Amino acid sequence: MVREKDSSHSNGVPTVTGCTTARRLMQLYSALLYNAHLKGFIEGNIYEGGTKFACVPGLNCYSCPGAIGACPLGSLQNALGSAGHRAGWYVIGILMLYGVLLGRTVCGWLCPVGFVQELLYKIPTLKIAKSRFTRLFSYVKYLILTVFTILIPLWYGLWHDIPMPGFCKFICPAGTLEGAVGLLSNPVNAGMFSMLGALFTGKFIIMLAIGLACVLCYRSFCRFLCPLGALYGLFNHFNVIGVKVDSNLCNHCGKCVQSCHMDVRCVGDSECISCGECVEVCPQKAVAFSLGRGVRVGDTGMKASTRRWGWGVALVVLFVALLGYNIPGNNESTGYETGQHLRDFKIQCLNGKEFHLADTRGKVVFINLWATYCTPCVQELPYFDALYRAHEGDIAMVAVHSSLTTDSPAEYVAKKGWIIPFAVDTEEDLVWAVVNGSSTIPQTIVLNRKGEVIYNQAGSVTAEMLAALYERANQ
Amino acid sequence: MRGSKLYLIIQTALCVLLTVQLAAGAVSLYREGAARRAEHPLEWIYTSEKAAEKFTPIAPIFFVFLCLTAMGMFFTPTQRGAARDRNQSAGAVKNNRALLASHPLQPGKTVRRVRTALIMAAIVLIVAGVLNGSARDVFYKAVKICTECIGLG
Repeated sequence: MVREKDSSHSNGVPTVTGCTTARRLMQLYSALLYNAHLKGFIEGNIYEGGTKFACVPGLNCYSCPGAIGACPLGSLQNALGSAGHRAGWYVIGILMLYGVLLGRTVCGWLCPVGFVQELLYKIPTLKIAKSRFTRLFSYVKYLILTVFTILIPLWYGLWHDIPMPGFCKFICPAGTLEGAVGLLSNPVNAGMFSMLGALFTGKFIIMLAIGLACVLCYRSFCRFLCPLGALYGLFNHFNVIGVKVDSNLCNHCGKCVQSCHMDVRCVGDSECISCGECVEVCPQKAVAFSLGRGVRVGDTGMKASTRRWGWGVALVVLFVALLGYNIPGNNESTGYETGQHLRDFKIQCLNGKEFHLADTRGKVVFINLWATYCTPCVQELPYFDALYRAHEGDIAMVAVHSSLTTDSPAEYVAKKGWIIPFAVDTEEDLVWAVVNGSSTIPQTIVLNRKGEVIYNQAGSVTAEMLAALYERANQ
Repeated sequence: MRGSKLYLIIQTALCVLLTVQLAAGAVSLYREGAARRAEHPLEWIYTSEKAAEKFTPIAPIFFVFLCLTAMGMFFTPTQRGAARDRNQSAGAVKNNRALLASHPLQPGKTVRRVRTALIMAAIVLIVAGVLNGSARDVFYKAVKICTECIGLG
């Protein structure tokens, strides 16, 4: 059987050039597949379909307009934040499965953020070499994993019953770049500028700093800050697919470690992202990709035709995804903007009464869209409650929970002792459609005494803003 | 050689300058906007007009940086070895024999057993998660985005 000549593979083992090219293609492929909902960038909204229950292996913010899956890190923090209500077995299981099967091979081959970092590193500037200092600094990501990803969500979830994804909220550059900038860059979302404040400023600066660091130092975020890499790294000793050393051939010359961009102490340790660049460097050919049970990639006898078939199938999957997630739909908005009137609606409240918009004429109306799993939503509700108590006869108010409920809103509200009328939106998202509700919450809508919309924006409000809105509605 | 070194220094300086200017622009926007909001609670801290006003002056520098980067991609030699560990001697690595041996191509029985156990545990947890509703939670939180969770706040 004649093996086809393939310059990207030497003796059946991938060469550096072949490996790098394959890796780049795989990174680009995964970035496109994770963000196949391309029309989200044009329409300025996120994908809300069923595949969002599936966590993608790499870091990809689910608020990206193109994202078709959930972010594993964000999902983990949300699961820990809800630990008081329900154990997050699903996310833990998914992370464990990815960790055991791939470990940090995800970082090297399947992470869009890793891809962006490597592209940034290509910008020609002076570069910072790895050293004992960078190796020491690589332990910071474990601190970030422990504090921001685990402890903060657990603390807030168990002791304060507030969902608080610490890493997503305060640090994650993927969320700022893909989510915040991704949504804000569309003119349709110009109203989102109203939400921006200190938090956005801080995260924007962090994103800039990380971007600069990635230009100057190889994969800075991955090496020093990424808690997902830290988590996957813990599984690197057991992962099925990754770069391993054949101890029978290794002569411990250390060329693999010397040539590596990451802060590895040996091939396959918790810092190794299985990029494969050490495979060709090894003079003993002792380093190879492993598929588990000591099987080297070259040993499978994979012909070039088989690889081409594999890529063909992968491209078909991508093509189908790009078609399927971008089918034009009926996105006609039935909501209203400032100065217009809302369509009349009725909704049953949790206190047994009915909220009928037509009955509120002559009063100032506040409609708030919220969810128990939304941090700023639950933090601002006390302001609404205080305003309602102060002007109970003069204000009509209803706080409508999303139709997607994780815990019982009735039980949640009962524990808080709030007196404002609460409701849960219908399965058809009646109220959401009437007020032009988006996929970002919280959202507040205020009507003046004539029933005209004077405020309809997503983003949290303060007590001062609510007071000012009440004054404006009275004018 | 000196020319390419000078080029790298200029590029690095431009990178740092752009980062600092963008950060300073964001801080300045925030401070001015916060001052406006202190007087009028409904005022926006960030507006697209103010952002354009702050960031437009940076555009020429960014353009120069892009041009130099494009030139550099084609004309300067690839920086191989720039990030190699010069402090790491082969001798130091030889002392890591134990570490090298612990990540072998041929996994031992213990590693295979732990691997199998972890995979089985992962599958059980995923099924348990689907049954107890935590998979549904992942979905809900991925389609109803909390604004502060993505840095909009």
